[in-house]
Amino acid sequence: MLTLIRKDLRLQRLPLLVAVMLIIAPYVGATAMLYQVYAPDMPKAATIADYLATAAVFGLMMSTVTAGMLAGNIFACERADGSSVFLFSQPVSRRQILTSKATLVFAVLGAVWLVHGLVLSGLAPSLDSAAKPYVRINNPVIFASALVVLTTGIAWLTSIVGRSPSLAISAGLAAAFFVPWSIYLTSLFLAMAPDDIQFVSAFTQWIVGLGGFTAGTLVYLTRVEP
Amino acid sequence: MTAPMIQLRSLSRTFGTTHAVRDLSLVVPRGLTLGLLGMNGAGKSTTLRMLMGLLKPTAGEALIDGREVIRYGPELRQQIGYVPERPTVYSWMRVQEAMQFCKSLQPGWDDQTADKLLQMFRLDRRKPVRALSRGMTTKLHLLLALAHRPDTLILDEPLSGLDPIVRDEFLEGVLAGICEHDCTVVLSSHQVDDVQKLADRVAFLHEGELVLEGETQALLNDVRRMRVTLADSDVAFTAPRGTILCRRERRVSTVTVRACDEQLLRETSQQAGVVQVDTDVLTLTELFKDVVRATETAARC
Repeated sequence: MLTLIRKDLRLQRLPLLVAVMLIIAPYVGATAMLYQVYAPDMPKAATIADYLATAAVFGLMMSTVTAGMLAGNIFACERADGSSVFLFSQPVSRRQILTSKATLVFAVLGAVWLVHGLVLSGLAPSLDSAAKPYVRINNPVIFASALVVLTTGIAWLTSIVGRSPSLAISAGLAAAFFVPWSIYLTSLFLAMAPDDIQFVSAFTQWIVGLGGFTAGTLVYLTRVEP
Repeated sequence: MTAPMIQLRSLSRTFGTTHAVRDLSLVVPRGLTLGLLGMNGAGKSTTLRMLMGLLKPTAGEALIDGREVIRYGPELRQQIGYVPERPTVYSWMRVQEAMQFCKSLQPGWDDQTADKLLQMFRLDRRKPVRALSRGMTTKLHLLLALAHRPDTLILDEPLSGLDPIVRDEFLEGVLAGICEHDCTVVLSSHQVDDVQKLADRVAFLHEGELVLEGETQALLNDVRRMRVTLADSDVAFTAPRGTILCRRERRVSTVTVRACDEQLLRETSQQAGVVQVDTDVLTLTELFKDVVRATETAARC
């Protein structure tokens, strides 16, 4: 299993690099803005806390891109260049291959969320207990989590079904755009209450994402072709 | 005949409306080498991919050592070495990394065999796979397929891209050595002469169908090309039994025929209008060509 995970780590070098950059980018941006607005004075702790919370929320939302790149690339990159045939000529089961890939995707996404989660609910409140992100969304964590689940599920499914990493990544990211907007437009048509819209949107994204992930997993486990 | 190691039972595979392989049944006894011959698109690679469990048959089943290849794939692959038609080893790996990767997955990996093959193939451990030529990549595939000393070898055009020296080394050294070690080999190739050197049995595929199969030597002993000279170009000549291919040019009919014995020769020479019957021994290449021609052209004797 370790051999497979090491191989997948190497295969996912580019998405991992992007993941690291997307972890750092919001905090670099927040620091730059703080510097631009407050330098040469030192901003108040409460202000830093708000900026950190905002950066963390942006980081959580940007993890959608990480999810799309990782899940979209994970199977399709080997199918695209035929190296999946080489892998399947070795004595490894589909379950092992799938477990290795799922472990990598969830470990990386987990790490990204852990970093931003620690900043949002640990570091920022330690500077100011009332720290609040500058985001006009009721519950940004639920919003971001729904996007990540949706993107991961669709990219995972497309990566398994197709052979093109770029198509799988695009499908995941496109889903993160089209599904929430479709729900929003539908809810306007149905004249739903704003709170209900957010709930329905998040719920639907979770269901579609988990559905995509489950469908992809089942297709992979039952298929014969690499 | 020893117990069958490889069995293909009514194996078929369609891609849309195209029949890549149609109702193919073959048995390869343990320790024998089967040469799978056919033109491009004959269904050789599709057959080998189904045998390897990399492609689901539309109908039928493939068994190795009595076990169905799709169901027992991971276990069976511990005893199978596979060289695909196109290079598939991870291009970002170095030769050493590819060897290490296979070693950690193959319980039967033998370092000594791997080192011996590395030397024989003159492969550089430190070289990235993407920097290897086609021939060198094939050699790497061969090394990775052989280093765990498999019971069954499935080689899809393994000799393509190899230079003549390595090709001979491979044919005379590696494969001949394997063949002595009770290893069952299925080898597809366009290089009919190479197959003739190695294969105990040959199977000719054409447009997905098995058109001729048998022990190599027995086939070559059995099959003859008869050159029948007729009295006149208007004389009707009836193709003898067991005819594979029959061509007529004026007074001469050239007939490739199976099970050519004294009686058949006598019967042929006794046909009305037959002046003379000469026979030639065929090489496997000639037989292959005649079998293919026979499927593509109507017999005209």
